[in-house]
Amino acid sequence: MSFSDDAAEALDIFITEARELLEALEEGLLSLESDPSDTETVNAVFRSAHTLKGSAGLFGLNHLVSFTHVVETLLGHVREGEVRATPELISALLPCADHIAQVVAGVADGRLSASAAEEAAGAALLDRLAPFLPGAFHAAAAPVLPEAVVDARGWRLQLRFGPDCLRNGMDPMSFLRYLGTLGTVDRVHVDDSALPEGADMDPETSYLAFEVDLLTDAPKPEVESVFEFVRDESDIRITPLAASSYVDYIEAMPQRDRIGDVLLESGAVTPSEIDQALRIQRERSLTVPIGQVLIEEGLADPAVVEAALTRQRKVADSRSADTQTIRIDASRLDRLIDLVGELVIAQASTTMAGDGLEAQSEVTRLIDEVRHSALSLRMVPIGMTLRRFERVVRDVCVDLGKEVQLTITGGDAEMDKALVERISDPLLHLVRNSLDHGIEPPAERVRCGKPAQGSLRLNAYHDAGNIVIEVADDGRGLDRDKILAKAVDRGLISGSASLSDAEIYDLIFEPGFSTADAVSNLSGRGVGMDVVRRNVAALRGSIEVESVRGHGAVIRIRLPLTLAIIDGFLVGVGPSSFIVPLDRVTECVELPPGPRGRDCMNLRGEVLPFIRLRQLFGIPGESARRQNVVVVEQSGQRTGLVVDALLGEFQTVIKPLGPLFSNLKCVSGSTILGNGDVALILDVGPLVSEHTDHERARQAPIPVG
Amino acid sequence: MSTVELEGELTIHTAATQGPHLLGALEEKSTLRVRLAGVTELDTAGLQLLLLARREGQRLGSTVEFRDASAEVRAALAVVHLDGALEALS
Amino acid sequence: MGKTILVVDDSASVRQVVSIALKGAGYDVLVGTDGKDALAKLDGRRVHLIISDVNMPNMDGIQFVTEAKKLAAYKFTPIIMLTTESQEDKKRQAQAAGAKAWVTKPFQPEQMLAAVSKLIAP
Repeated sequence: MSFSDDAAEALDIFITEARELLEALEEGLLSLESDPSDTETVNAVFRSAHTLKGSAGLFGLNHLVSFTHVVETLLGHVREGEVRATPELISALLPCADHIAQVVAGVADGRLSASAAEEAAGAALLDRLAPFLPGAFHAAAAPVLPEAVVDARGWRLQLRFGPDCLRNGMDPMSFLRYLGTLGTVDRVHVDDSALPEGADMDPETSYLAFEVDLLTDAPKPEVESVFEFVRDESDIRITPLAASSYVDYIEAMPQRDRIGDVLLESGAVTPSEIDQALRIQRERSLTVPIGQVLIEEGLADPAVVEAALTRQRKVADSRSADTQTIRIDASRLDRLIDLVGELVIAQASTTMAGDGLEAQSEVTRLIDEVRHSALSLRMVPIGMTLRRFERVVRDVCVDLGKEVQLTITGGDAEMDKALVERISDPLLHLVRNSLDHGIEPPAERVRCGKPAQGSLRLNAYHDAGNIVIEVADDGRGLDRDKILAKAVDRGLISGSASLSDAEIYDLIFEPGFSTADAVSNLSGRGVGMDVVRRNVAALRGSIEVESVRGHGAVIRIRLPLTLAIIDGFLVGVGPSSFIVPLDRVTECVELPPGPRGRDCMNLRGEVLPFIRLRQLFGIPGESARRQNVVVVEQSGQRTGLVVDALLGEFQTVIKPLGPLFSNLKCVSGSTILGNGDVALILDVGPLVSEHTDHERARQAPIPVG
Repeated sequence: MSTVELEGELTIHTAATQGPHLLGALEEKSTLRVRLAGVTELDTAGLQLLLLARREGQRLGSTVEFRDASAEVRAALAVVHLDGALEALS
Repeated sequence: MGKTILVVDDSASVRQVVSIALKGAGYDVLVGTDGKDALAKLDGRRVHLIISDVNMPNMDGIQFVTEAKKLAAYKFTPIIMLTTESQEDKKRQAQAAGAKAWVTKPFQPEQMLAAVSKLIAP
């Protein structure tokens, strides 16, 4: 793939993801060491490796794919119970995780293929895994992806350091030694022709020049940065050892209309070289084109500049309305949002003081605006993430012998960057699932009277403060009876249960559920839908499926626009306060009088089960005389939350709970109230379903014996 | 044939004194043996002194031999691929 | 024989983090809590590299560099200044005073080690 902005950004995302997955992998392996039979952990560990391999494949990172493939295969055997998770196996796997982390770090540094050292280290680690693999397995079974376009062998550096560099403590030999950490220094020529005759030589002045051939995958800016401390006084020229690869990928690049941009983006020249060329251009005359200056100054190869010029001409013909985007350091945004969060708290404390000045409503309005504009900085179009799947669809179709037309709509719908990053994995699973299980092979489609080419649609739109992402295909659709049979077979439901279509479709999100008869090498390893639902739920979103047998399926993910601030509804139970996400609240009613122990009430002729928060959280003291019920809705099911006091709407800045509380269900975070008290934010989904399970267990007949 | 022994650092910190010491030992049409066993550090300032001594020697019709390079000197010369090139560096 | 690096910063945590990283990479570390304290450490012993903060009590980084460069034993010693992005002018002053290298705060220990190993061997 080429190094367009999108791709570079996506690569950043991948690296973030990969690090998280590796953390999960390591954590899982460590806990397997103490409890080797924990199937949940075995599944989690396997999925981490599986997902990592999948994402690496997206970027054509062959070295990462082939190594991780072996690890994944081995973990697959562990999951199937064919290989035991002995301490020896864990000790062999842990260094593999470390190795993958190293390779990922290399990718982060711009090395898109394995260095010789990485290759050797990887092979040694895989050798250690071999005894654990059942049967005759060979690492060569890994899927091989097309080579990345970027294959410059390395760089030729021509270095003449400033005369004062030694006096400044800058030792050229030290820089050259450092170059060796980026790759292999293939050739060094020391040019001493500038050394004056003996008596005229000042031993503290630098006279030497160097020419170095560096074999490396490191991009030019990284090589250039070695000399950042001496760049101003020195003459540093860095040209590719193999110019042709740049020509190739300038031709494959997206549209840019300035030649400098084209060269910059290809990595053929660096920003400081462009600056240098622009300076020279200004000094000489305005009529010399920048490309020519770059060639004359030896900053760029003529063939590369020519390719860039050709590219530029093409762009001039087909200029499109490019959307202007800015890149913002995410950490600065986080800081800004943090500050705004504090501001919101400060504002809350003024309203709590009860001083009804008009100015305060103005402050409220302003803060609201600041909050919106700050959040909007984090918003990015989801299109970039969706477009990532073009490649997946293409590759998967080739593998499966299917023909699929991918249509992306609503790519300009915006959502929080953090959310975009975390939703792309679940989406990848859904896309693969549709391709693998949904859309039929061409022959079967024709037999069913459909066009041979299947259709996959990715659609995104805003809906009432949420973003909705749909993955729709015109394939087989879900087979209600088959799902039902499988669910009974797997013991997920009892054979006598009567379920609605929606409830049956929902079963595909249960752990361990897979309807594929033949396990293919794509999504069919049974990783998938349960993880997708868990990931979506973790983002405070929901997922639903709609399907017409024989005509296709639509999977719809609904997510909040941001994770940082929510509109909450503040309630009080005794001395404690809780926040219920406002979008879950449908209404509030007074708790009608009734017997003490009951757990449901009549709401306009319907039975409404409720949960007493005082009981749930073990809050001591007597209930208020008049209690209220906050009615919340989750997946179409309504439940009441019994509280003492309704305290009204509250803009809630979410503070995550510490790792100590990570196992806590029902609570998704905390916030600080204007008076300094802490309120827990209720996670309605788990709260309701946990309660329902609990009730079911309670009502089930007590087994005899 | 004469011998000059270089000791301690051969770096920017000592170049102002090591330079004249080394170059002053050169004579016309003879052989100068430069012993590097006692050199504890070599940087670019030191390197260009060695290169200059060799070139000056050629100009005077003399031979400059570098001998007994310390491990530090060898490591530094390896960086610029001159560990084999400064002839007779043995 | 490890090379010696003088780390000058008024923040104990920065001194700590940098020292640990440098020692881990095989350097010997000497610390100074401000410019004045650091200057007292420059008593003629061999120091291969100086890492100094800019804003410090008693004597700031710029003045410290200026004074250090006056000492014969340290006039060619490479100096890394710890600057922040908003201190472009300070960075220029430091460079004029003779501190040609810099690391921008906040930094990861690896960034510091990279800058150090560009300038001196372990």
